[in-house]
Amino acid sequence: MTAPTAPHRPNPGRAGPTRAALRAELTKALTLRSLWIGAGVILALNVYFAQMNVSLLADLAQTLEDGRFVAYDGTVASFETAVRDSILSSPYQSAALFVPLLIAVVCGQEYRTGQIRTTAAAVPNRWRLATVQIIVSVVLGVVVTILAFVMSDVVLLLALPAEGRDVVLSAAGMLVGAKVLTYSAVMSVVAGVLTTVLRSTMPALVAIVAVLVLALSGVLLPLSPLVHGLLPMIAAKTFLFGYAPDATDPSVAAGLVILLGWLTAGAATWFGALRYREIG
Amino acid sequence: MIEISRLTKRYSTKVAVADVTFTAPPGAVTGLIGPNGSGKSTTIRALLGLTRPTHGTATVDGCQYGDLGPYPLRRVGALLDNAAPVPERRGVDHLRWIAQTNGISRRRVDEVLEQVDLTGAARSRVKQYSLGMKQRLGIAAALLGDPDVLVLDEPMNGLDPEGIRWIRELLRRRTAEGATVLVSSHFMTELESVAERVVVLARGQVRAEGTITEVAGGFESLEAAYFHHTTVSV
Repeated sequence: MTAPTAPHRPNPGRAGPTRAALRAELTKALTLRSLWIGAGVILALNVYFAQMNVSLLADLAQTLEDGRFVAYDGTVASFETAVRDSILSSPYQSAALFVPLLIAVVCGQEYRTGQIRTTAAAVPNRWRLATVQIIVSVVLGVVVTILAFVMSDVVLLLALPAEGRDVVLSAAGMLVGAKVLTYSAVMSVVAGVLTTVLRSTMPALVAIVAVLVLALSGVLLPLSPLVHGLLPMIAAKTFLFGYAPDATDPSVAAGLVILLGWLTAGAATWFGALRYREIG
Repeated sequence: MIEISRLTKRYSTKVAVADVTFTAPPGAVTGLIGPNGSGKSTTIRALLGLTRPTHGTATVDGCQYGDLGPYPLRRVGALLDNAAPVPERRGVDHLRWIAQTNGISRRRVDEVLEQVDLTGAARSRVKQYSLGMKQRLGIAAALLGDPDVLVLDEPMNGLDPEGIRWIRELLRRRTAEGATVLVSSHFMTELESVAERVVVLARGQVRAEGTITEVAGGFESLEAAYFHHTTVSV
């Protein structure tokens, strides 16, 4: 070990404290190996799901009559709708489950070894700390979802017949992308706040999966359709797909309001958890 | 100057520290000693704004930690107990994010890595570090902002003799430059050789405070005084 050097006064940073904290929070996330492994797995799964959709659409294309087909429930739907749903389905699965799990792992690193104490000592302003943590969680979630969306689109563009490719490149196809990014941002905040409140990765992962299971199983539906409709995955369905797959689903506008409600409540709880609970 | 004034921290069923008062003046190493659970870490956490006192204050140069400004690491460097780096991150990245929070340059990260002799291991992941290397990484983090106040919770844990000698020299040099140093430790002999003042805590209360000579006076060593003060009930 070298002898201690003469006092060194670091130059004051030109960036403001919030920008400095934001940069640090990004560095913290990007230097985690689990982030890169997790993102890689999500993107690989996304390509796999997109490939499965392509096979399905190719089969469907053989059965078209006037650009329409008979769906499994007997309804008649257009090929355009099927392609649009396919554009959405892979990124939707990522945003609903995989991205939240990834965000929980990234946020949970703060609590694995007590690193949150170092963080809080370095950034004592808890509002600032919560703000940058929320921003970084949303950015990570959205970036992974954008990559998933782009990769899914590339697979569809390479494998679909011409009429399908037109749908992928249409304004409606792009709008679907913007919607799924909104959903991803909401789910990133939900995952992050669960981890922050529970102060551990594993319980947060269990909670995220539990919410998903509640939504997919529909066990709340007979008890309270209202509560069932308030689950983020249910609210997102109509908002994302543009129509209500089930009669009990909320409307498109209600779905958006519910998602924004989750975003707002999640951010407020995140602020409260860091501001009013002791780091210890 | 570190000032702890009538500090009390009460949890639902337990009093961690009760009416603790002492000062750590500039230009001196102040040792904070006491058995496990005596309130040393709680006092340090209250000083660093990580836990809210039920009563009393803990200040640095008259300011509560949260009022030190947006870049507190330039004024106070801390090595915290139970705040280990994330194992999967590289050592240099651990220091880099801490430096970025307080607008400290990348060059300074390299400097402190050299000071603690971790330059060669900087790009290794922390999970590959020995206990002593992790401790040196923590000390490097405390030195990042070149602060005038150092708060070190058990800095000698895991260090080899060379590392202990190095930290002794570091603390002496820092105090010679006028720094305020508060060190909690179980290494009595080491503390006796480096600290000018000592505060003895037991069951959340100050049992003795003063210069080493004052506290150890009448005993054959600081260790003997420690056992006397921490076992005698008040």
